[in-house]
Amino acid sequence: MKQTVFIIDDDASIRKSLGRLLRASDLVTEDFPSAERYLERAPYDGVGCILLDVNMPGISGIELQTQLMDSGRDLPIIFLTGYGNISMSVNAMKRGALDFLTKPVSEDQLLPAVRQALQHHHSLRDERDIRASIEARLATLTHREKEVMRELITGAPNKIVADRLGIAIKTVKVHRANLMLKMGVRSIAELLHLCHLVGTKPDAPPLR
Amino acid sequence: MSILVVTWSMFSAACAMLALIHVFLWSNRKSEPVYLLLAFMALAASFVAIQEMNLFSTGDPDVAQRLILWQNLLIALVLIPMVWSVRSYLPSARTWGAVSISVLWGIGLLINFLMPGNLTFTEISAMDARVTVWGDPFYVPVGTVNDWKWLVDITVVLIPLYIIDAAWHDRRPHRGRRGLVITLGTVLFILFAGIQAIAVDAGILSAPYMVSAAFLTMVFALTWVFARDVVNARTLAVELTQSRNETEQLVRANLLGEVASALAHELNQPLAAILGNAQAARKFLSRPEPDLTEIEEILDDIVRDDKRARDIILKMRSMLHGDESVHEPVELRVIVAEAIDFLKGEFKQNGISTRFDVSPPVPMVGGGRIALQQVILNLLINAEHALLDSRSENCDIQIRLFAHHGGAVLEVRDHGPGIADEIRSRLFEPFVTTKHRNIGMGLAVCKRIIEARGGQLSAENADGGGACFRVWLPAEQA
Repeated sequence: MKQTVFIIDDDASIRKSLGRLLRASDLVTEDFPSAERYLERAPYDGVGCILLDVNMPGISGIELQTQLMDSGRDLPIIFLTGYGNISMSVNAMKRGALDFLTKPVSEDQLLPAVRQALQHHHSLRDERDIRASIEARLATLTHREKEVMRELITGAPNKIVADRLGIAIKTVKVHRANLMLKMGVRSIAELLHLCHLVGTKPDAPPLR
Repeated sequence: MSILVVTWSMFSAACAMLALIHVFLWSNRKSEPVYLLLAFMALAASFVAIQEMNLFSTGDPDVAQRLILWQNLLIALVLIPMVWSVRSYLPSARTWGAVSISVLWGIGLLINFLMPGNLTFTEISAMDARVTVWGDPFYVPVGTVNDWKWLVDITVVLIPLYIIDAAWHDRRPHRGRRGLVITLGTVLFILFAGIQAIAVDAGILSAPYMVSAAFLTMVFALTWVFARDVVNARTLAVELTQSRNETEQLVRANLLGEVASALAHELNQPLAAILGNAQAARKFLSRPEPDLTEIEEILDDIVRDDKRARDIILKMRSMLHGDESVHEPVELRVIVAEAIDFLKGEFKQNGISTRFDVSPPVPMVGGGRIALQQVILNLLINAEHALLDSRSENCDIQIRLFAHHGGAVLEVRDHGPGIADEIRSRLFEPFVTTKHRNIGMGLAVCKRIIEARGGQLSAENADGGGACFRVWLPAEQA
């Protein structure tokens, strides 16, 4: 899968040198002299991470982090700074930065950090893809099937589901078979797992 | 030669010596005429001793009459300066006391010269020949005492009262015993000499006049207190210069700390680039078929970044190690640009922008490049701190340079909270600060640097918020 490291720093020689170091480690890089220029770029869909200078004229690194988070972009960010400032790094990490490196940064700090970030983004992407497919399958269920499903994942047997929804046990069985088929699961346990991944909650409290 | 003659000659010589000392002190501090007054008084006292010696050596009543006539003038010339120098030494002395003593002696002198005879005797009938206990012969005039002599006899009481009063009001713990020295030195001996002279005049005491002995002690006491003041002042001046130098050193160290931090920040960029490039080159080289063109480019970049680092260090060196003894006229525009350039890394770090407007032509100003640099760095760093502390919206520092009033004006304006009213009037005094990290010497030193060049440093709150510091320096021809 395509993996790109985005380098955003206002110092041209730093951009160039970091780019080279990453390319020498077989990574693809793109560099930008400012946060503004990065924002102009078309949203990136692959796996990647951002190497971001904290202090830049115009939009600063920290401001860019906030903007990216607000617009729901999930590229992990590794901050680079001229001098480490504890409160600044704590704040950046709290907002979800993956790492905070102090310049001059050596390859044994940079490469593991970048690899970890890419790994992190990769699993984020996987999860996202899985979730998307579950959501897609959920979307194919009818209203009634969804109702039945929400009852089933409380652990209720068919009879209770039928009672609660006020329909015949036979009908419940039909809905159950259909929805298991549509969701691609063979057991209630598997169904429960999928629902958990996308955050679908049972309607009623679980049976004791 | 009799002991009397030897002793009185010594009195005279000692007084003359003290007069010389005061002339010397005066020549070193012309702003204080009191030393001239004291020299005059000591000289008069020296002549009093000579006159007195002549008086007890002569057997001729006419000569004695003339001697006493001039002696009275000399005594006035000792006492009046004495009274006024005490007044200048002890501010607590009463002016009207000094005035009335002077006036009494003035009237006394008029009578002395206008009436027949002199102020002491209207007529001297004879010179009474006597001998001292140890056998030295001397003469004492005998005759009709002047009816107006009481006028100056009063001063024998008035002067001690005047001095005791002044010394009494001057007594304060830190003043030491200067009042006491003057009192002892003058009062006791005036009383002694005055009473002795009155006793001799009245024929009660058979001894030569001893006014000059009293005067010598008096002159000595006054010389003592005044000379000690000179010595103390010298010591204080040395200490003051020393502590001033130490403070300046401290301020400089403080500033150097700021400058070093800015330097570190600036050096960081090329260093970071060099590290990345070098490590990339090593990785490229370890490939089976290294791309030599790429490696060549990397080496070029390393050389370029290294030069950039060297330039930063050279810039810092030239900024801090100039020859301060050469006060060549300097161009403020260049120094200001250097200072801004120097702090740009730090400013960037803190999100501060600067605007530097020059309205040419701006005249050259008196030099001491490094000292001026120090002032400008201080003002810029102050502005930066003001902005950081206030977390102001407008993080802009405006710097303006223009010609004004036969010189150049440099304005540094921030958009921080401005100068608080409670410290406004004391802004340039030492140890006044609002910052915890600072000892509050920066502006005090800046002001001194600027004023040493005949310039002015002022501060005000700008329209629309923020503080504005203004430096004016007189123009100097290249």
